[in-house]
Amino acid sequence: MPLLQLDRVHVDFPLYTARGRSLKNRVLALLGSKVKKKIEEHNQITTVHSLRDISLTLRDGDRLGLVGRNGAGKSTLLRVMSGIYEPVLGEIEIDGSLASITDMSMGMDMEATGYENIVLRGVFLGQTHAAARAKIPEIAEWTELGDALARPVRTYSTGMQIRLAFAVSTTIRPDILILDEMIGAGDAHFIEKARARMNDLVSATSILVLASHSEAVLRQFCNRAVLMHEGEVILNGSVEEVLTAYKELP
Amino acid sequence: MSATELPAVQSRSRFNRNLRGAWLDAEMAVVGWRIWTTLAWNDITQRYRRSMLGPFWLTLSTAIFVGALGFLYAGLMHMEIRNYLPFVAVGYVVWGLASSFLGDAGQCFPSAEGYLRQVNISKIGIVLRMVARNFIIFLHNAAVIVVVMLIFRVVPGRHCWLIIPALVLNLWFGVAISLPLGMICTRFRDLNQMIASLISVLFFVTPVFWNPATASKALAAVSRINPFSAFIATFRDPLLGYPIHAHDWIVALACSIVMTIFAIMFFVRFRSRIMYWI
Repeated sequence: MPLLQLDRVHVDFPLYTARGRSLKNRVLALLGSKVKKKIEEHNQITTVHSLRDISLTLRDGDRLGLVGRNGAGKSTLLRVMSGIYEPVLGEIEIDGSLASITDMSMGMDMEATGYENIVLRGVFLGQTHAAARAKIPEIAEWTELGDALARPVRTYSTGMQIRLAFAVSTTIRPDILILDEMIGAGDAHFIEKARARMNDLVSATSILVLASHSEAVLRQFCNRAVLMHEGEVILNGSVEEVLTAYKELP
Repeated sequence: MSATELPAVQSRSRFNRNLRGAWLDAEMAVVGWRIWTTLAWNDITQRYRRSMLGPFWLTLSTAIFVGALGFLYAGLMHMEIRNYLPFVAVGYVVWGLASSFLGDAGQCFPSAEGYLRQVNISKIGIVLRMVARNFIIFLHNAAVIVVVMLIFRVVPGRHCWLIIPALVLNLWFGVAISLPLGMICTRFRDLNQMIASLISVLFFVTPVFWNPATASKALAAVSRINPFSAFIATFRDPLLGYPIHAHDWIVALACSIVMTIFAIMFFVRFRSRIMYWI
């Protein structure tokens, strides 16, 4: 059974200044005592507490919505769940195949053609070149890009790029799916198609974690939610409870 | 709470976690070999896309450099061009491979930021991508060696098969040095410039255009302790049919082993910080 478990997870981000990034300054600070103090004042590395003490257990069938203002730590939490950032303290357990769609353009090589990008993304998701190539007809049909797929992606309009990226990102069927802010770009015809495709993907996954500002999206896809504020989970409950509390945030 | 404030019990479990994380990363690099080979290949095809010659531009500039340096120094040092030019050609091309690891290691992780921030992919794989890319470029440059050897009718030495283990050693060392170096350069962004100037100095103290056998005692001594001269000699000597020195092989092997041990220790300790340094 797929499982995603976070146990008292903390994440601190070091904020390096240009000086804090300098090896020369670091070495000088070790050598000279006179300049040392001055340099140490500059070298101060401030850390930002991005996530504090987050514990969550997600099992088969859980569809969790992350609610919170910008900077509350939603995206950081999604990246911790995807295994990209490792917690400074605490444990995370991921059981099952996991895929995250946090930035549609990930892995899009602008110089490469649409076809090559489809294969590249497939390989990133652990497929063989042949398996990745097998997806081409379906993606070509869905995106309605046709012959444009033979051209470099940099020649595409923004709308075409999004269509391709969306189609390529959503061909996978992972156990655990992590989504950040579903896209709202594109024309009405495409948005309708994208919604249907997203529905297919979400219903095929066992665990979903979704960060969104849209109440409609959260109500449609999620069966539980957490409210995040300043790096902490301040409420863990039903979607309605969390949305109500979100509106009442000071 | 920062890492230094952790009590002893937690720091032991932290070590176990780091060890496990490093192991999983290595496993991802092996299982996901398609990712880094594809990325490396893409780096190369991108060069082809921008111009018909692609990486052969590098080959061309290598050829020009080798030709010019060969003729100039053969005249200056009163050496026969048909002996000297093959010597320079092989040395310079292998030097190009060995120094490319130093030069590119620093950009490994920052240039892969787009991928690293979106998916959990192997960090070792990112280094392997750079090494693989530079190996493919080396194969392009190897054309210069072949052409020069054909022009001057140099017959490969009896033990020329040794160039294969020599290449393996070179690539192995490349991975071992690039992994920790790439990580340090990601944390300290000024190190890259220091390395760039170090490479140009290293070029002169490495026997690429001078032969340690005919050089002064001081220079010969420098070349004996310079690991790069060992990596070049292990490839050049068997290919051109020069006498093979066990010393070079021992130095190359010892450097690779020591560097690997250091790389493993460094990677286990700091792997989880790479994402916070980018």
